[in-house]
Amino acid sequence: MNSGYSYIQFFPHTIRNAVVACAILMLCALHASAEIKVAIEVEKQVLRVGEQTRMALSVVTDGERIQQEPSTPSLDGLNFVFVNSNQGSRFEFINGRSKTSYEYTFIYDIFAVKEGKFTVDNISISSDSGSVKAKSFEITVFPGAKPIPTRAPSLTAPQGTDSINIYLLSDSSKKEVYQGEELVLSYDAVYHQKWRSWFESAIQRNRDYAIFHEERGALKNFLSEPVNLKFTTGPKPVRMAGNRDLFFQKPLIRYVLFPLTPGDYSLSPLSVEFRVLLNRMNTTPFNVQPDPLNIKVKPLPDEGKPDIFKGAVGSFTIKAQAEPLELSEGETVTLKISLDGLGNIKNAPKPILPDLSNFDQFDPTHNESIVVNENGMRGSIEYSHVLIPHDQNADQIDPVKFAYFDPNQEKYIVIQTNPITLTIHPSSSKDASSGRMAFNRRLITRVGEDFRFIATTPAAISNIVLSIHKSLRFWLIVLLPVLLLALAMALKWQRDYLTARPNVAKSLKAPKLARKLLTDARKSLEQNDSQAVYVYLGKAITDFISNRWSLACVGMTSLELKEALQKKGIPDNHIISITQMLDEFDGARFSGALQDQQRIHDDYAKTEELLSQLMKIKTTI
Amino acid sequence: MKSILKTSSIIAAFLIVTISIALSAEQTAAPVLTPGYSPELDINGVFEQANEFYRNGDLTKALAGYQYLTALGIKNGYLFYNLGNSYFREGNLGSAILWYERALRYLPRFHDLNINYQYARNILADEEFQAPEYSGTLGFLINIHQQFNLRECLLITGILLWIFLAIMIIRMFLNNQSFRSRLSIPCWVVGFAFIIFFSSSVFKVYQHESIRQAIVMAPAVEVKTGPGNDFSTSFSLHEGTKVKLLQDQGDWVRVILPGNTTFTGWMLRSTVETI
Repeated sequence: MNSGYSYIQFFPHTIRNAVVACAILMLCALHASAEIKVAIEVEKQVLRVGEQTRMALSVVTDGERIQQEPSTPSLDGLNFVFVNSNQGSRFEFINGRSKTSYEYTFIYDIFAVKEGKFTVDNISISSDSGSVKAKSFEITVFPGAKPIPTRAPSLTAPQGTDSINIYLLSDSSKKEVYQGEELVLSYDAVYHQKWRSWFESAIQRNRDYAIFHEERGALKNFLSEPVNLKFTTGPKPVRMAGNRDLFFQKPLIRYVLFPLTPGDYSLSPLSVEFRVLLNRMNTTPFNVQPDPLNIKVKPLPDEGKPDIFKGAVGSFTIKAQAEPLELSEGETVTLKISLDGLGNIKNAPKPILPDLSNFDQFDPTHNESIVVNENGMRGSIEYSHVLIPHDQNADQIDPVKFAYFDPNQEKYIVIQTNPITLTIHPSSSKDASSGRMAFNRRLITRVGEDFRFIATTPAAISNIVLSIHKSLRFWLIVLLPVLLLALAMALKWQRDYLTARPNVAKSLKAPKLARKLLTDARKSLEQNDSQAVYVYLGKAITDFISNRWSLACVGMTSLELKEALQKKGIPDNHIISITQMLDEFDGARFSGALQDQQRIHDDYAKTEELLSQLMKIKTTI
Repeated sequence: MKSILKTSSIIAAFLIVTISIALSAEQTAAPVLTPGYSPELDINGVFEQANEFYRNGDLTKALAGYQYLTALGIKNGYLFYNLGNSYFREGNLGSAILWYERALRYLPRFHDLNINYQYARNILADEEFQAPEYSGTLGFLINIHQQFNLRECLLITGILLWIFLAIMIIRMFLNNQSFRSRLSIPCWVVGFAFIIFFSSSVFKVYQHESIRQAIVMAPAVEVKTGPGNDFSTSFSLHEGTKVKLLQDQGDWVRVILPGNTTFTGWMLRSTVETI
């Protein structure tokens, strides 16, 4: 792109103006002949009534924007429901010419509501330059096993308006129930197909699209368990009688009710406030009051009511088991009674225990596993009784009984478990009371709080200074780590600085290394290893020079070394000393001077002196 | 020369007199051990002996022993607690509360002390205004604040600062990025704990240095609207009630009730004892 612009800049003014004029003309011509390409993809073209398929409509324009959704055909048998759309753009610059194209994809779900063969031929895209029709296609619909249900308009009060056609459908599982019998009130949203994408988006994002305003006291004669279904299960398509468009039904809330008193009730426990998204930013509240539901609650019949009946209504089963079945006197046996049922299991009365006077009993415990969902309440309660048989005669646990009223059979039913036989062995200890000690245990409880005794510990008392903040020592100790931190930061900075500048690091280390080599030379001198002495002395000088001033003096001739040191600003007298000594050391290593101990000592001293002089020189690297 | 000698002798005499007066003043302030205690006992011996007297029911002698130790300048929570217990059993409720309050500053977690303190407070004539109870994070932080005395708070703050800075230094010199990132969590935890304890310490120092509290020692005191008996009575307080001291003026002191700032007035300085 840049090359194109820069190319134009090199033209003379007149030519450039002509080129610009031509470009404008070409753009106008391009705009006039803007091209729109439309392509349709349909997942399935053969459906059964009640089934759906997805249609993707791709539109590519040459620089023209599409402002409206495509118009879909109105067919009696197929419903087109908009799902979502996306848009992309492409900008190209070829041979100095720019080209912008836009790509749109519109997704629709096509619901088959009637059998037949349908030709979809009038899907069109409107733009400023005109309207373009998509290629036609056919969809064949066969009879379906589960057609889309059709609701009569009378079933639901038409709370919607022309613009916001959302309805609230209220229903009850039964119109007439017995006292205590389970009843489920259901409230579903029914909305026009045009709201489908908004509803699904709100559900997916857990956005509160419906707020329940519960009427206080509306359910005072019922035990109620609300079940919120707003963010569960997707909507199902539904048709409204006399309306060609498709609607969707979405469960909102269920009330699982158990009537407490007989009578006729008109129930309207809530109103719903929908938060409808009118445009991208704003929602508008839309209140819907459902139709009241008339429920008749009948009293439970007196006929056939068992003595042990305590108000359970529904359908229940009971099981009992004991463990262990074989035990010794004084040992414990656990009796587990499990009550399963459909209905108000949460408030179900306890099963009737048999006579357990031959047993000592601990307080029973119970575990509940109860589920309340849109279908009602169901679950189980397990009661655990820990028993200690008094003696060998306590060898049987009689049946556990439970009575309930079954509203489906309209009669009372008594259920009971089988008797449980225990085998009790005599205790190994003759004193049976020892086994009952465990039963006599009691929780330790505090009788009362009384005045406490003096403190006799610690044996030695000392003066405790609370205000240690007034002591200088405290502040020194507390602030010492701050100083350490500052020191550590300085060290870190130095380390980083030297890591980044290895020459400086070597320069700083040069004296230390030179001293080390001098020490090695002294050791060699003490061991009369003259050869090594000269090696170390020479190395001490050359290493010092190379480290201190970054001069690779190994391999240099005396003259080269001299020149290099002069460049570094080393005084001439030191340069002469360095070159002389290095020459002498080389000469000494290869001559008989090695036998002259006095000379070796002198050379060592001279080297030490020279290095100390060199260390004092402050020159830049 | 003579004049110099004369002047210096006068100065020396003045110094000798001053020092001897000062020493004699110190000597007169030195506490005296009451009969019943061996004069050879050290402070721990006196403490044990006083405990023994308390155990045997001789509260007067026990009290004398504890008072002797406090007069020596010994500040110890257990000593103050025992002194509070002795006063309580003697029936001196105001002094008992006073010494319990002092002990609580040293031993805020001592269970027996808290029980006896509450026990004593429950029989006070005045029902004190309760401080508001906080829950959640603020309640947790206040609980931490109340669990430690000033010394402990300052020491913990110092230790946390040491640990925090040690981790910082280690992190600074660690080249391994994964080890450095692993040290971030302890660094944050210790840093957070440090901020909590530092804030608690600052508040405790402020309380210790700036807030003066006192206990009413007289059986009943009328709190006046001004510093003098001519002023009208605003309300009355009884022995053992805690007040906050605001201002001194002559023999009078301006007080406020800790739980309710609308109750404020003047009372005689001699009727209260600073905690």
